[in-house]
Amino acid sequence: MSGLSWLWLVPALPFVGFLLNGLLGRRLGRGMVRAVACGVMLAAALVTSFLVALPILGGNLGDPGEHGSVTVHDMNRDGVGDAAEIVLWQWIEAGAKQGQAPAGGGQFLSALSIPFGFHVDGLTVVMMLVITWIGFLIHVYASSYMWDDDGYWRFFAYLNLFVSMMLILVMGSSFVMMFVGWEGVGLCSYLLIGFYFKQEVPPTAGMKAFLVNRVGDFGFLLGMLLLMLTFGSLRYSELIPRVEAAGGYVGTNLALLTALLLFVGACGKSAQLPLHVWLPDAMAGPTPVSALIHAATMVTAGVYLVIRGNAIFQASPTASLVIAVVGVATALLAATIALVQNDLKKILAYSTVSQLGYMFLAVGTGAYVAGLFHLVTHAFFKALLFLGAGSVSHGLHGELDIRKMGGLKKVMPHTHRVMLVATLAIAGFPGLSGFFSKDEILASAVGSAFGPSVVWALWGAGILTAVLTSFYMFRLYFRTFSGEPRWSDGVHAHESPWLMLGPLYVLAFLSVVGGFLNLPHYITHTRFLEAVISPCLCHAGALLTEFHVPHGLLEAALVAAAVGAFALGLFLAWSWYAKGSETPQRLAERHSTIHGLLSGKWRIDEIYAALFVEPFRRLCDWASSFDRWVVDGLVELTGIGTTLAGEIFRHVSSGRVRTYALAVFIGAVGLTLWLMSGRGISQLLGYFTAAIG
Amino acid sequence: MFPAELPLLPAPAMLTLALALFCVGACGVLLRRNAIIVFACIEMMMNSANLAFVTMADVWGQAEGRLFVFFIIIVAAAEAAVGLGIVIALHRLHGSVDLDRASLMRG
Repeated sequence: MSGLSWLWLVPALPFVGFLLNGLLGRRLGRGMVRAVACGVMLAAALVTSFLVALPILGGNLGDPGEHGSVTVHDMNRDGVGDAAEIVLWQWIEAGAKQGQAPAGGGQFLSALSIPFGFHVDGLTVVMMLVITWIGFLIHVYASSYMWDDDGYWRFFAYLNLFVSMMLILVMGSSFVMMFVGWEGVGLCSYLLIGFYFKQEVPPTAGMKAFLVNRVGDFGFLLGMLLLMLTFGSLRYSELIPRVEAAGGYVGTNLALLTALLLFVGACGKSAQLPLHVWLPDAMAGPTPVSALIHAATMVTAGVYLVIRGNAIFQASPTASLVIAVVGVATALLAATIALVQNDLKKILAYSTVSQLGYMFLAVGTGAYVAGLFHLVTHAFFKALLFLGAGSVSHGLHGELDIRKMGGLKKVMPHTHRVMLVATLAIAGFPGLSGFFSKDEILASAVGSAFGPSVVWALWGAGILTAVLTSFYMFRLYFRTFSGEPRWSDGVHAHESPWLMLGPLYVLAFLSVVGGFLNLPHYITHTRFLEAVISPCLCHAGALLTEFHVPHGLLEAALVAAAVGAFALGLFLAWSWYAKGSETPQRLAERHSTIHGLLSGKWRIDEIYAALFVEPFRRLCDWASSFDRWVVDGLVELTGIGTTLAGEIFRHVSSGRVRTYALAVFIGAVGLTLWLMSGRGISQLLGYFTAAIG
Repeated sequence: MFPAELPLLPAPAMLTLALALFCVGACGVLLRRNAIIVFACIEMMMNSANLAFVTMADVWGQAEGRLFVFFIIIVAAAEAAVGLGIVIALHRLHGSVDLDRASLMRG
């Protein structure tokens, strides 16, 4: 209990770091900024590990029930650990008071009560551990990587704020709290993508990310409102049991609409089709940002949303199928684009989109554990890949074009070693983390509740993506590290300092052993992740009740196919790129249409430009001219009218006193004459009586 | 209410006198350029009104007419103070009291 009452420290520590660095950073000096930023991250990670993770996962929170501000739920259905809701204060309260009958309408429609509080269970703890520890490693790396940047303190202020918001996103006790974090990380993402605001591209990329995310957030907000209307609460502790208990809700159009709207939000944040366009552009930000925000943590928020709200998504199998299809389509499409890119970070960005697609394939088929598993392992090896790419570009004076690399194996032995580990992990080398998590996703696709043709189509697209993943990752590896150097003139490649390499080695270690979090059934039945997040899942849901884990011969065949996919991709990349073959060049020339389409990112940006950006711009032009000519015209007209009137009436003001006197005299005489005619007097009396009466 | 033996001209004659005074004053205001003369003419117009007031008060046997005369005299006194001040200021500004030269307010 004592540990959880300090739970608020976890998001508060990075926030304090943000305030210190943001307000005083300029005066603190680089050393202090680094100490503050990394210190708060380490503190948050330690608090998470020892004061939160241990009691929650150990299941020693104590008796269920309310203890002051902490409410402990008995989550021991068939997993490990406890869950708790911590209410810090009542935040939003509206509508009928407690005990009053609902004002009318729906079944649950009564008071809106949203506390500012946290909900911690196994899922939250896993996310918190990933965010704080990987966040800490990336902070340490960035403290060296960004050392020469003028905006050192600004960078760490944003980065600390991001971590704080990301923690609120995963820790919040309701969808509203999640939304607060959701928007907070969106803001930090925007700020950090546009970090180099003096250059031309980054601010535009930041704005693009922000705008595309707005589309998703709109869907998320509408989904939340629908949930509120249907179930009368957005607190997980109230909402999720109500959804699970709602008879007749499953399969309705309302359930479908709610789930799809929430998924639109997830699409925006997690860069799924058709809202994936912002993530590759987001690489304009500093590399540690790409690693932390646009690979390891923020972009997985959509996956977290689906897992957290799995009861809602299971209530509509159709929506889940949509998620799976969108996921696998994104995975395949992004992987094809990654085949032909030449920018190191762009390849990794499309790879991230592709891997996120895998995660959505998993959560769409009801394999929530596999989705979270891949989220965690992907956080390890993709953070490592990005940081490694940062190390490469650091050693090559900012070069990111893989055509101008090569032969870095000798110059950067450490970077080469960890990048090789990460590449093997993401490509699915048997035994490494990515192999197990990806394999579990593909097996789950086969075992899911949808019809046989659907599951094999999903699996087929997934395994094809696996081949492509292995191919483009090894293409990147071979082009970067082996062969002859193709560096630009004047580049003296060098290895990065140890403060950058240290985090890389830690992440490499995690990429290797990450698979042990959730080893497949054919190795062991004590699966840590499954046991931890099993209490968060709605086991009565439509997807999980009909879920059949493949076993026996089928399972062996699936594993063999996954190994085969890895080997095939590796072999192709090795034969084409390790020795400088002409084949890729020939293929590109022979199929120039396809090559152009792929390197042009399927022309999706151009389609959006034609469909949305151009019409919108034209609308803006039209509105602008309307404003200039009609609205401004009216204003100008008033001005012109006044000037003209002044021009006419200025002659009245002649300055000759006797003319004035004459005017007064004529007026007085006229008034008198008017009054003396009976009509005038009666009118005057009428005014008076009206005024008095 | 009033002493009946008050020697008064007949009312029409008094009103005619008032009208004549008013017209003379108005002509003076409109035609003369000397500020002091104009000022005196304004006084004359005001007093013609006073005359009409007392006359009609007698005709209708009501005291308000006479009462108003006192108000008008008070206002006239105040106005005279301000007006003469203006005339002095005008003289200081232009060295003369010619009204046609005081045209600073021309638009």
